[in-house]
Amino acid sequence: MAGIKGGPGALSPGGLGCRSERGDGGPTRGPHAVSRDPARAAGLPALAADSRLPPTATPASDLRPPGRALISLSFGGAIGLMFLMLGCALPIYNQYWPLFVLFFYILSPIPYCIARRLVDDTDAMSNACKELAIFLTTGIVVSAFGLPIVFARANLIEWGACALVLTGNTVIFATILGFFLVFGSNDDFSWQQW
Amino acid sequence: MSGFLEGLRCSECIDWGEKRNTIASIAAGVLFFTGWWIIIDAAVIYPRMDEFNHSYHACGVIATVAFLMINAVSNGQVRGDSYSEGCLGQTGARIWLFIGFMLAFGSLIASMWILFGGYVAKEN
Repeated sequence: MAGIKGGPGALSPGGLGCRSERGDGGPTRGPHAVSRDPARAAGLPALAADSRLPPTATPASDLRPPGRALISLSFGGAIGLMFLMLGCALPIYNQYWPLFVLFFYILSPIPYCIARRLVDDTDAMSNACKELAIFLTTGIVVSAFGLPIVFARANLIEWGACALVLTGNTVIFATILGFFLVFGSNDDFSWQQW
Repeated sequence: MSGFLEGLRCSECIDWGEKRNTIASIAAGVLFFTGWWIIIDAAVIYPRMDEFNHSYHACGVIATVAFLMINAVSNGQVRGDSYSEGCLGQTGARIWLFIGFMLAFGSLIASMWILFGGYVAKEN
């Protein structure tokens, strides 16, 4: 136990709670790497490892990975919605109650986006805001799984339809999570899109 | 044998690191909302009052209020060393936390009472 990380004290050099969530940021930040890195190195000391990355070579090679990720994420979203619609529209089921989970799909990114917009620095209040957003997002995800189960137990929909809707839920939430991991991990998100 | 449990300190066994608060938030969200969906399920399956007395929902509501009260104050406000006093001050924060914990334990005791008094005893 003590030999794995050199003692319980030496955990991680940075102080950010969300540092390790910024996974695949390298190739997507290519064109902006030169202008962004000094600002980020000054404001976010825990990302010093990222600012030492060399800017990627050609613009053409930077466009393909985001495009590929976008296409696979949109495919995942289409598959998830396909499962949801199958659960509603198959002739043996023919009940449109499960469409209420669309409400939860739309609601699920909102707490995290609001928290990221409201607090950008690293004091205790921002961590509390981020954790509240994670709590609410988890609640919305659990509700999206619970609603079809309650419908099926109340015999409003069949259990087969419930299973299809739950599969669709899993795929859609994996897609939304993938979207945030791939596209949400750069600072350009909050300046350009809003 | 007195030193038997000294090797079982689990807070050092698992290296939570920076992710501790995130994992705790996710676990809390799963538990809290699963509990509420179980309550909703029971209310939907047993709509009549003679099967399921719907005033028993008060336990869940009071527990939720207590949860919100407890999470509204931070440790710094209770210890008195936070940068902002809050609108109640340190003593007010302690009283708030005390009332929050009392409501939480009270709702837990009430739900146990309902379980044994309303359901287990009736079956016998």
